[in-house]
Amino acid sequence: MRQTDVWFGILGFCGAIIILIVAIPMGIPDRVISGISIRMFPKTIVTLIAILSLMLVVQRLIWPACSENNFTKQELPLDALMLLTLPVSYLIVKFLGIPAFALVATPIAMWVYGDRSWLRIGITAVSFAVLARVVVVHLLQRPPLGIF
Amino acid sequence: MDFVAIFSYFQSPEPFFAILLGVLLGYFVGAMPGLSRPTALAIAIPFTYALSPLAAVALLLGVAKGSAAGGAIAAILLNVPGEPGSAATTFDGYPMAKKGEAGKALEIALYASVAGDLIATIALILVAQPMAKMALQIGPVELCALIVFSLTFVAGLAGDSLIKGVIAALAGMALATVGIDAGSGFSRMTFSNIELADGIPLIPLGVGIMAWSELMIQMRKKIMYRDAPEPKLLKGSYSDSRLSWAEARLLGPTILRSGIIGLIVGIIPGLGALMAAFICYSIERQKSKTPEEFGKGAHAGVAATETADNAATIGAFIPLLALGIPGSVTAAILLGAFTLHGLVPGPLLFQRNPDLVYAMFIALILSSGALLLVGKYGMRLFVLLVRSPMGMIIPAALTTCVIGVYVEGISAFSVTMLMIFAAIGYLMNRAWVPFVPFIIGFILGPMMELYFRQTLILTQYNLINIVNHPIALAFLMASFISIIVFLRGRKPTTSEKLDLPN
Repeated sequence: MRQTDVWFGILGFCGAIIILIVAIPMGIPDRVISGISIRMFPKTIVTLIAILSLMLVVQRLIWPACSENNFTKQELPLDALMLLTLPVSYLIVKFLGIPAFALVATPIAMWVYGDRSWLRIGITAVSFAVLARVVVVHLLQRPPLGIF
Repeated sequence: MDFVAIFSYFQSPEPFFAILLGVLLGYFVGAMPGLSRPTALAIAIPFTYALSPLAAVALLLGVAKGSAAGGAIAAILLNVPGEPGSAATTFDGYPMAKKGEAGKALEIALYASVAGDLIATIALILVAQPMAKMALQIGPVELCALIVFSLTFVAGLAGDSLIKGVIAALAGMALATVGIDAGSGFSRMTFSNIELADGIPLIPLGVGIMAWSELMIQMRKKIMYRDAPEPKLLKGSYSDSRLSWAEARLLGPTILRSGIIGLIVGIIPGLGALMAAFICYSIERQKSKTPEEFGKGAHAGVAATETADNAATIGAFIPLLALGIPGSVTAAILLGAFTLHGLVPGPLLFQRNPDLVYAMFIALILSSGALLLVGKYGMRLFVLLVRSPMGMIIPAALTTCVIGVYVEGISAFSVTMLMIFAAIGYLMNRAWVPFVPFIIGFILGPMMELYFRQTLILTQYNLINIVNHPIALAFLMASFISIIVFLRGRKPTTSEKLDLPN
């Protein structure tokens, strides 16, 4: 955890500083209501995040963590792949619709979990897609998102 | 007390169906080792929109109660806890099943779960209102200090590092400041995005962090360890061995003791059902005349852990209902659900909606009954469901997540938020940053800001004046002490702490 925590601390510190210097002045008007600036609370919180992130870095550099599990280089491609599924899922849902997402996600998940019967996979995927369409459009009476 | 108003809530069958559906769903989720209670609750929230506030809360309570009880099924039959709270049930539940006493173990778990649930429900009914009345006597300074105390405790216990837990809680609070500020009416950190004016929506955030990212982690684990053997379900009939009346009577003191201890542990923010189960298991082993039986199939071991698990789950709702402060992620999700239905848990709920509160109490007792019925007559079905292929459950759950989020916002923006928070949740999991303080921080953020501002005004912008508020000072001192304790170094795992089998 040591290395991961150090990176987490550095990222937290940098993120907090950017929010403090750039995002808060840009995103919150400089107004004072009953003696208190409306920037005060977010500023306090983000300052605390910056201080604690720095403390985490120092702590992990001085004291060992309870576990030495780190993000390993071998695992990074898998993590990247997992994260890549998110924008892909978003694009499918937004442009093709929720049933299309079910149609794509089901075979992938079933394959990952060791199912090799394409007939079963196909039937399940189509059933989920049809069910998703029925639930959104007919049962919950919402307009479909995307084409389907 | 207006009985007519209270019972008018039960004129339609909606609350009854909601209770039954919630318990069924909870049992299913509890029985499935890959799905967790927060996942189920996060997915269920959007679908409660169409329900009345009582039915919505009843459904979610049913899910919480059902999952606490259902977790024992996988623990006994697969040696894998369906829910973290059932981890200690594997110690004696699985050995019992291996000895051919699976049916007996399942029965003990069921009756202990229902008893624990009932003990905590009765305590909630008796304690919540007086506690809320007391809370009305304290002001924003004390409430602000109470939130600080709760968050410190939750942050310290949720992960392997107090600092990471506090950073997560603060990040949640920081995100809660996005949107129109209720005090001044000015937009904060929306960057002229109209869709952010109402703030970051809770449902995509909760579903993204607690459900979607969890399902991603499940998939990741399966890819990483694809050759790992699947847990095997024990063969044999589950009706061969039944619990006799004499055996049940012997478990009475264990159940009562564990129910009370579990309840107390549940009330304390951050400790939760897992800790309660381990503590009660340890106590029962120490009290037993045959401690050597523990770990080899002791009936009292199963009874203690399951009673404590259920009592702690419901116990966490006491500070939520009485003070509006959630002590667990389940309670935090319920707080979110209350807010979505226009209700604010806490002392004022008892003043503004007393009929609804009493109706909720009735729903709580009814759901204990439903827990018994569903557990007793649906056991065979749940034993079959334990074998459901995760390959089908994961895409079904993911699709349900998208539907729930879309139905709530009816825009692609909600789906965008879902994906962003799923990524954040995934990265948090990989970096071992606990999501529980993040969610609780996000939900308590607006309340904390309000109380903090009021505290500043009441103390004339000089926080030293808090010394004039002894209750607040006590909470701050307790927070300080817990920080020192948590910072002392590596926290031993629960098993190490209680000298239990790993």
